[in-house]
Amino acid sequence: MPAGALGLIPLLLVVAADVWVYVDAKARQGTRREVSVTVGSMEIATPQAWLLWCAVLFLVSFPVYRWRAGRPRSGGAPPVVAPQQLPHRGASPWVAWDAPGSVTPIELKEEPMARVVILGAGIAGHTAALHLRRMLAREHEVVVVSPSAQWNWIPSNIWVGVGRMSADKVVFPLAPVYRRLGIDFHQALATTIFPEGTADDPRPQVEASSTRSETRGAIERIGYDYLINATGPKLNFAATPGLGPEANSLSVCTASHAAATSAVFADLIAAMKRGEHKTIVIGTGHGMCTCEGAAFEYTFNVEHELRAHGVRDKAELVYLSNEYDLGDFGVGGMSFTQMGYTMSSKTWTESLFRERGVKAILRAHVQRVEPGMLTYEQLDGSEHSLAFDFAMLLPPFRGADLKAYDRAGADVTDRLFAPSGLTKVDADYTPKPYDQWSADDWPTTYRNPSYPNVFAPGIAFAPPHQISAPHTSPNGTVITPAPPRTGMPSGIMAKAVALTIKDLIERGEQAQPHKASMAAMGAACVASAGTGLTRGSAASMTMFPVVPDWRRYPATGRDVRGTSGELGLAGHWIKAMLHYLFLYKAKARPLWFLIPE
Amino acid sequence: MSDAVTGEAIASAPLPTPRTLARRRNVAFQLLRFAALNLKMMRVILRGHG
Repeated sequence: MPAGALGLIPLLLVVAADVWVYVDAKARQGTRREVSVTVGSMEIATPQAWLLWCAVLFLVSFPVYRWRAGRPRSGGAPPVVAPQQLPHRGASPWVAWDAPGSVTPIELKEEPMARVVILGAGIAGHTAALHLRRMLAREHEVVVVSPSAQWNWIPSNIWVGVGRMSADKVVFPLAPVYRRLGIDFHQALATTIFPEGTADDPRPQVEASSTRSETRGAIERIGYDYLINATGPKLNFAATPGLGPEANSLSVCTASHAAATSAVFADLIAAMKRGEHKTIVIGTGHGMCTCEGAAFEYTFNVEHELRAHGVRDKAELVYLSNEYDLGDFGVGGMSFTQMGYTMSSKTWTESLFRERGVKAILRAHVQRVEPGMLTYEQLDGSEHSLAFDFAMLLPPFRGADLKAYDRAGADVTDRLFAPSGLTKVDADYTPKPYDQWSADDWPTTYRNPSYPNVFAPGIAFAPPHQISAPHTSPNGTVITPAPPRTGMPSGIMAKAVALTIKDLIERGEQAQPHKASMAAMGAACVASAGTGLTRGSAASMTMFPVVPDWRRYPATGRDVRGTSGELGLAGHWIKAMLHYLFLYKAKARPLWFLIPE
Repeated sequence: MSDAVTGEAIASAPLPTPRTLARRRNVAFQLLRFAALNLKMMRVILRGHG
């Protein structure tokens, strides 16, 4: 390494230390435990003041260091400190493994101060794990239980699904990251929660079944002090007969689904190049699906690819959705100001469909998918059939199939979970008509009311109701998007839960929980409409708040200054930037925590 | 192939002018929008994290 580059290292360390001081002061300010120092008439209390004083201190001390470094040492060699042997967490005797179908009584070791177990390693679970490990002292344990060995940046699956990115670019193995950070990782599927412990052991615990090839099916039980259920969605393809990659339609919900879809799409383009005409259907495979934004993205990426391959005129492209209007996206649509007018996302989205020549079928519930043919019901009760050559249809979500039992062995699943399998948290679940829905119905702490040491951020929490207006067909079929809780909101909720648990561990049960209501948080969403450094485009949308608050913002439910929509190449650059930023963050590279959720 | 209601809505939606389409692809203009969009998103992110 050249000497000049070596000289930069102290400078980088100084900058890093300055940044750390600022971030730490900011974090302490957030917990109302700021460190305040008075020097004469000056007070160092705010993060900005700490940053400034830290910089000044380095400016003064650096010349002194340089002067001292140039003088011969007088005290001999510094003492050598033996490297500390870190405990091998993977072999924790807390965990008992046994053959499939049987469970060995748990062998307890000397208890650590606290153990936080996180179920799931998606955006919410992984975010919570990284922040907890960063914030908690080492004597506390952070354990992640996830059936998948890999982390997946799901938003980029869209590009995998059209063959513009390989699947290995959107995933990475979790185990090396967790090993480096000191997070105990169990590749297993959580199946049962004992929130009061068992007859033999009063410690709350989780039972999980190994998904590693070497130990597949072996049962383990893991005790916890705090549990974060971040299991996300179960892709419920079974809700619609014939739906899914195992049956008659395609998916981009996972990296492997997207890779398989990409291969079929390549064959489709080849057929069109031979002159064949094809019908492509993309959308939602059930009346209660969520993530319409992903279907929208895939539709316009497919359209972009068809044009790029010169076969656009050979394809009929149909967007089929459970939304009432285009631009609903499961959040009831948006309003934003453009050119001096308040414009709805409906008009904005319809304009894009017209410009790109994409057809749309809305207010639709897919009843079944057969090879090359799907049947759907619309909100007016009418039934229709649609022939297709290629169908990518998203499934509805439900919660992971977790059961819960009390100490006596009685089933208490309904105390932890709603019938959808999603976790009950501090939301107002009282059934009420649409005109009485309120921003206050939405949870703020994601804490289960029956078992307050159980939290559920992200898709795993049961929402109190939809965000979009509910609709039911004359046949009784509910055709309404479920509320999206993915991406940025998931990360923010998970960080709030991590902060709450940290405070509970460090300050006891009197600590106030951190709040992150979807009715008080904004979201930025970049929906790709085609990739390419100079030819790509995306719809960049911001909204504040995610759940409309009609009391605070009576005109449109949201703050028009924080709600916007824009199409263009810049959006694609942002989407590409987010891909690299969030993979960097998820890999916990240096200063990862400076990248916001 | 659109359903009748949606097909009619799409058919009557405003179309972007050639100038708007060119602006959406113009690298220099989009660099400015990139900066502006990042600031806008950062504002929403900071409010959301508060």
